[in-house]
Amino acid sequence: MTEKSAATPPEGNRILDAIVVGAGPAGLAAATLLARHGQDVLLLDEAAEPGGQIYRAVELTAPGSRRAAILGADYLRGADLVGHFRASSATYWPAAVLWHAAPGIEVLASRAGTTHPLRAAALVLATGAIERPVPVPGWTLPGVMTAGALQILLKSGGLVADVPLVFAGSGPLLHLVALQCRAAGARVAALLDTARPGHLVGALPALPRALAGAGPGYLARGLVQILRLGRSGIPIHRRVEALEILGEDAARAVRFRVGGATREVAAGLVALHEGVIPGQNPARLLGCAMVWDEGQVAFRPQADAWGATSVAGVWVAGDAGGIVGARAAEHQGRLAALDVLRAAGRLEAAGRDRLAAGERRALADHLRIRGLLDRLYRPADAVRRPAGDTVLCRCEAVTAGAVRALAAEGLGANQIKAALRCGMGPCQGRLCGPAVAEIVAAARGRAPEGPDHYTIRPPLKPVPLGELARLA
Amino acid sequence: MFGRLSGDDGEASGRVEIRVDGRPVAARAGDSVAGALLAAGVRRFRRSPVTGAPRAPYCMMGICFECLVTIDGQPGRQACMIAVAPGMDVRTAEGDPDRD
Amino acid sequence: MTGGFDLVVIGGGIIGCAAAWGAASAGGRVAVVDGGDADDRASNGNFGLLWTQGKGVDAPPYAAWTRRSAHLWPEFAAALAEASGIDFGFEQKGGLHFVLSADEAARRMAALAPPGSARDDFAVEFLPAADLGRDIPGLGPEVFGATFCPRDGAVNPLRLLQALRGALARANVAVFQGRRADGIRATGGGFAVSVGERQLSGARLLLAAGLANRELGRGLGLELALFPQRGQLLVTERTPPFLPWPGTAVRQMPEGTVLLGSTQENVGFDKSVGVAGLAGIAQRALRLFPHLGGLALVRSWACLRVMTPDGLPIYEESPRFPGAFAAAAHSGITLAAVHARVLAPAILAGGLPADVASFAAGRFADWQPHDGGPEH
Repeated sequence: MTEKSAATPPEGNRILDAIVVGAGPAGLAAATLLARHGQDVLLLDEAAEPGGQIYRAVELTAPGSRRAAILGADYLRGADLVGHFRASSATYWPAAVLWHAAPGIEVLASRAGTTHPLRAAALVLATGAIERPVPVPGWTLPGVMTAGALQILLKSGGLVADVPLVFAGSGPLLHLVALQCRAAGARVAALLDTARPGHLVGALPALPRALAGAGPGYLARGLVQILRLGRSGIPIHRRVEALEILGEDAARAVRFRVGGATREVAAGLVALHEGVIPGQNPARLLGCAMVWDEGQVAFRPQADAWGATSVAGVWVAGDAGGIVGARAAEHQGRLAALDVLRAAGRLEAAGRDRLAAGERRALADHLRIRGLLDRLYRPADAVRRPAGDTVLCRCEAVTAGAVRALAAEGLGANQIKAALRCGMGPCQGRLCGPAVAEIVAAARGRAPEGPDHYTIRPPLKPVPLGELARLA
Repeated sequence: MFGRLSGDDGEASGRVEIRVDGRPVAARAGDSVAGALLAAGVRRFRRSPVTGAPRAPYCMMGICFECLVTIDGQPGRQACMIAVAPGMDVRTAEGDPDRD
Repeated sequence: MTGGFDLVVIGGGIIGCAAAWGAASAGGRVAVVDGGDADDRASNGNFGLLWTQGKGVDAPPYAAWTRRSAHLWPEFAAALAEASGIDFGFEQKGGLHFVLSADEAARRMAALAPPGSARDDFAVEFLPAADLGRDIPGLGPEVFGATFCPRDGAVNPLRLLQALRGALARANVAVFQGRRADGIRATGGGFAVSVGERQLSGARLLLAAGLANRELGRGLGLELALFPQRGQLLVTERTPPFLPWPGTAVRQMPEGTVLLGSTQENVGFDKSVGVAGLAGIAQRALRLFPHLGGLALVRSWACLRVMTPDGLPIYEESPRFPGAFAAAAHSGITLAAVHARVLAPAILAGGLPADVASFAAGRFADWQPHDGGPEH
C-alpha cells in the first residue's frame, strides 16, 4: 500500500486504471493482482478495515485468541489475503462510500465528509452479498437481527448475546452462527429450521457434482457442523412454518408452527437467516443487464466468464455477481483483474488465458458444491413473497398485501413504489426490492425479469446536500 | 442485550470514551458505533418516521438503515458503518425526541 | 371486441386519468389504456404544484385557462377525495418563488405584476426577506425576498394519481394497466384500439400519452410539436417543518421530506440523472436555506417534461378523423381540474371547448420535429 493512499485523493483529472469496489475476498484479490501488474488501482470500501463481511476485523483478531478459536480457520485464512493486499501498491480508501457510478467510468465516493469525483478505465464491482431479507410478522422490532449481524458483532467487537437467543431460518450460515454464539457463551434457546426435507430429494441430482474438486471438503465441513449442532444441546425444531416475532417495543418471543402445533419460545434476541443474495444496486445504477437466477432465486448482473457485464468497462466479481462463496470469490476477483489487464492492453488474450488457467480450475473446484447448497436451502415462497399484512418495506412501513393489490392491477415495481412509497426510504429498496419484484412477476404469472425490480438512481447511499453542493 | 466475550483479545485493545444521549459510554477501539451502543444496552436507535415504532440495527452491514443516529450533530449516520472515535457525541431517537 | 365506450383515453398519467374521470363523472362510458412500468411517466416526477404565478404572462388565453383550473380545483379536489377515499394533500393557500437580488425581484415583479395590472386574487405580491423570515425559520442571508400568489397551491402528485386511479375504479372505468395501445384505427364513426388480445371500440379517442402522443398522433393525422425537456429533482430525508408554503425551487412535503429542483435541460430522451444538475440544485437550495446542508439527499429523479416550442399546451382534434383528440401539457397537475371539468365533458359532447382554441396544433405548422437535444 502506498503512502499517498492514506489521505490523498487521485489528483485532478487523473484517470485511474481501475477502481475496485469492496474489500472482501473478490475485491482484495482483484486489487492485489492489478497492483502487481503495475496498474494504478484504487480500492474503495465502506468499512474501516479490509476483509469484507466474511473476514471482518480479521487483522484485529489475534491467532490463538478465544475469538479466533470460535471463528475458526475458515475465517482466519482471510488474514493472508488482507496481508497480500496491504503489501501491494494498491491505493486503499477505507470508510469510503460509493454513491454514484456511471459508465465511462465516473464514480463519486464520499470520504470523511467530502465527495471525490473519480475516473477510471475499469470498474470492478466486488460489493458482495446481502442477507436475503426475511419479512415475517414482527421483524421490524428491536432485537430482531440477521444471523450475519450477530456474527459481525462477534467478529468486530467480541459481542455476544446475554439474553435468550433464537435462530430461525435455514442455511449453513444460520447453523454456523448458532454454534459460534453458543461457543461464545450465548444461551441459544432454540434453532427453528425452516428448510424442508423435500429439498433433500430434489438436491440429489446436484450431489455427484459436489463429490469432486473442493466439494468433499465443503460436504465434510457441513456434516461436521450438522453433527456438532446435534450434539450442542441447542433445542432444534425442524420444518418450522408460519414464523412470527412477538413483542411490543422489542422482541420478547417467537411463535411458529411445527408438526401441526403452534408453539412459542421466549427470546430476547432473534436471528433470522434465509441465505444470501447479490447486492444489486450498484450494477443496476450503472445500467448493467440483470438476469433472474432461478437456481439462487435472485437477480444477478449478466456477466461473461471473466465477470464482464453488459456495460463496457464494468466487471463484477464474487457474490455481487451471483452467490459463489468466499473462496470462489477470490478466484473470480483475479479472473476479472486479468480481463481488465487484457482490456487495458497489458495482456494479450493468450497471456491472460494462461495466467487464468489455475484460477479457473480452482474456481470450478469451489463451485461444485454450489448447486447442492442452492437446492438444499432454497427459501420458501412464503419468505420471498410473504402474505397479508407483513411489512415488506421497513423504511416506509408498506405491507406485502398493499404491494400485491397493485401488482394484481397490473402495475410494475416503479409504479408501485410511486403509489405506496415502498423503496423510497434511506435503504433505497435494498430490503423490499427483491420481494416486490417477485410479487410483480407472480402477478403476471411468470418468472421475474430484470426490469421487474425498481430502477436504481443516485445516490446509492444518502449523501448530505452540502457535500453534493460542493461538487457544483 | 449483549455482553463482551470473556477472555477475549479485544480486552487488550484501547478504551474509547464516547457520549451516548449525554451519558458517557466506554467503547473499545475497533467497535462500530452500533456495536458500542448495543454493548452499552441501547435497544432503540431510532423511531420509524412513518409509524413512530422503535427500531434498532437489523443487518449490521450498512444495508437496512435501521441504526441511523446523530453523530457529532450530523443526523442520519449509519452507526454500524462508522467506527467509534474518542469524544464522539452520539444521539439516538430516545435522546433527541424531535428527530425521526 | 370490448365495445361501446364513449371515450377511450390513451395514457394513464395525470392528464389521461383526470380527463377519464371527468368524462366518467359526466356520464360517459370510459376506458383508459396505460403503458408499462418503464415508460417515461412525467406524472411521477414533479413537485405537485398548482401554479398560476407567472403562467401566461405573454399569453392571456393560457393565463385564463390556468386560472379557470385554479378556480375549479377546490370542488374537483373535494369530489375526487370523496370519490376515491384518498387524501392527496390538496392545499391552495399561496406559493412562493424566492429571489436572491433586488434586480431579480424588480424584473420578476415588472413581468408578473406590471403597473395597472388587476388587483384580483391572482395578483402577485412581493414579500421582502424580513417579512418571510417571521414565518420561515432558517431563511438564508442571501435571500432578498419572494414573489407570492395567494391562489397558488400544491398536492402530493403521487397520491393524486393514486386517487384518480381509485376514483376511476369506483366509477367503473375500464383501466388497462401495463398495456400499450398496439394499434389504433378509425372505423368510420369511431375508433378501434388493440390492447394485447383485446379490441376496444370507442366513439371518441383522447391521446394523453405525453411524449408518446407525437408518434400516436401521426397515425391519426395529428402533427404534434412535442419534445422532451429533462427536469431533475432531489428528495431529502425527513426534517422538522420549516417551510409552510410550496415554492418553485423548494417544497417541503407534509411528511417532512424536502423536494428540490428543478433543472430544465435539453438532452433529448435521456432520463438518466446528471450529477452536475443535481449539484447545481443543491447549491441553489443551500443559498435559500443554509441549514439544510447537513440534510441527506435520499433520492434523485429525472423526468422528461412534455414540452412544446412555445411552452403552452396543445389541444387538437384530428381534422382527418374527427372524434380523435390529443391533449399535451407540462402542467398536468395545475390543469387537472379544468381537464376533468371542462375539457373532458366537451370532448364527450363532440368538440373542444372554446377556451382552448388558441392551443391548436397548427400553430407549429413550420416546426421541424426534433428530440430536444442540446442544439435546441
